Amino acid sequence: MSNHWVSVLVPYQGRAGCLHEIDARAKLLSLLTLVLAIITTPENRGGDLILYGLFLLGLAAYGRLSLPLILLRSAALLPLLFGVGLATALSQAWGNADLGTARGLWFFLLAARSWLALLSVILLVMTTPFEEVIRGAQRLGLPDVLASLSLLSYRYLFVILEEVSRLNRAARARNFGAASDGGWRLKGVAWRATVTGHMIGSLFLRSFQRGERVYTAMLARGYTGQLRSLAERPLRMRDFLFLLSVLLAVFVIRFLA
Amino acid sequence: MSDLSIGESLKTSTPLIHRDLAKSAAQSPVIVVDGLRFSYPSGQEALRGIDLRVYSGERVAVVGPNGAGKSTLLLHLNGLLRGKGQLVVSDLPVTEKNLRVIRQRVGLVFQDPDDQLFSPTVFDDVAFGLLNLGLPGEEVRRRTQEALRQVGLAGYEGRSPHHLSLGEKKRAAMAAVLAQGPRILVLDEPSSNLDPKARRRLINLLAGLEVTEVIATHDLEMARELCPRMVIVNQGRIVADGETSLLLADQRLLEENDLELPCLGRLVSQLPL
Ligand SMILES: Nc1ncnc2c1ncn2[C@@H]1O[C@H](COP(=O)(O)OP(=O)(O)O)[C@@H](O)[C@H]1O
Ligand SMILES: [Mg+2]
Repeated sequence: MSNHWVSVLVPYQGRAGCLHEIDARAKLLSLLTLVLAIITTPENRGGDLILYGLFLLGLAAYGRLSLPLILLRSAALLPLLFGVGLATALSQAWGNADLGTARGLWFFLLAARSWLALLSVILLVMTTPFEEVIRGAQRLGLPDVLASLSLLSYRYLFVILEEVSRLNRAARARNFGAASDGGWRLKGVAWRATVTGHMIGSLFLRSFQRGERVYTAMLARGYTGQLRSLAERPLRMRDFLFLLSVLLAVFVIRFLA
Repeated sequence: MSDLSIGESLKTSTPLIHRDLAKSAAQSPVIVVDGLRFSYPSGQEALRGIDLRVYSGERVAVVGPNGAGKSTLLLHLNGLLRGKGQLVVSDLPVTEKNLRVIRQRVGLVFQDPDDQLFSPTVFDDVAFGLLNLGLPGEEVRRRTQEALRQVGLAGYEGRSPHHLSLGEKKRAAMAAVLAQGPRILVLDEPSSNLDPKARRRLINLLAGLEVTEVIATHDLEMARELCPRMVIVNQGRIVADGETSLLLADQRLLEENDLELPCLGRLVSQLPL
């Protein structure tokens, strides 16, 4: 159970590749530039998107990342695109034909842009551990509170998910929601909702108590409200070079190609 | 803080004392608890007048049934809870002003290591207390490595706590506390839920440390092995305080306090050693 969650929630691949070693700050700034450039690509320059795609492909190859895995991860976007696509198609059916083709192109560009933006994010999270992303963001100006909150949420997400699965197992062990159990159908939805409500309540209570204990543990080790971290190593030449090459690529695609 | 004044106000109200620990009396105590009372906001009276002195270098087991108040007592020892009564730790009265130093000197290891390992990596967690002390980076790194080595977790720096076994989590939590160089180590049920091998490692680790240890536990076998002295707590009071082997041999005392030694242990404690 927990392993399953971990594989979904921890996209970071421990293998060291060239992208892995770039400082998180350089990667975050590159990501920001790329995503901004991609989503602001004007409609008359749809071809740019292909170039961005090739550039991302190059980055993935440079980082020795598994392409199928990247594509699989990006599939998370499909349901959303499907929804928007359906809405576009429907309005096309009702509207006049001219507007329809314009809408079709618009949808295609939207899909391509969001997909490429997502691919960029995937590249970042596959090559950077979560805590480095947050620490990097913190040093780029993300407020301390938000950084601490993200790090703690991420840490306890797993603990809480395990508690969810324990509660779930306990309920199933007593035949709650089993397929063979006609009982709950007889007892009705209200009863089922009540039980589920109790489970959620219990989970909230446990998480709340956990929070108290964690805070106590932090106080016990001299916590005063600020998560400190070691003075990080400064940006190195190769981090600058990486950022520079991404900026350059974006500039070339946007203004010269 | 003069020790005399504490000594004068200390009444020996403990109902059952098997033996006076005369050898300790010469030293000054590192923990002085005097008439400590505490109620949770819910109204639950968890401590009803605790008197306890712990001397430097002692290892004391605190035992008693669930809900006896063991954890509550431990949380007082570094000022996380503040009850009524006198509390002097490492010659410092537990007051707001002294909390910082006291928390550095008293290392508290919680029962559930998930409560204590809140950082993304083992390294970050061990470094947490050191960073709060404002130590320089080099020093933090050195002491972190040293503490991890001490608990046998060298090389675990980059691991996420989530991927550790319970035994490893407990040792990581110990490292986090040991890194701060505490004089007193306070542990809440350190051996609970551990498999025999992990439990053995932990016992050896605790036996090898040269600090004062206060250990709340249900593991009477471990208490016998590690702690020459034992304190039995029940319903917020200390009902017995004395030599572990003597208390463990008192069948009626154990039964009255819902304690039970495993069979073999019972046999051993009956032997005239
Ligand atoms: N956070 C809390 N709020 C209210 N009551 C509590 C809390 N923690 C413990 N208690 C109560 O205080 C008493 C002592 O608890 P505790 O110190 O945890 O006992 P032990 O560790 O010996 O099992 C128990 O009756 C318990 O129910
Ligand atoms: Mg307890």
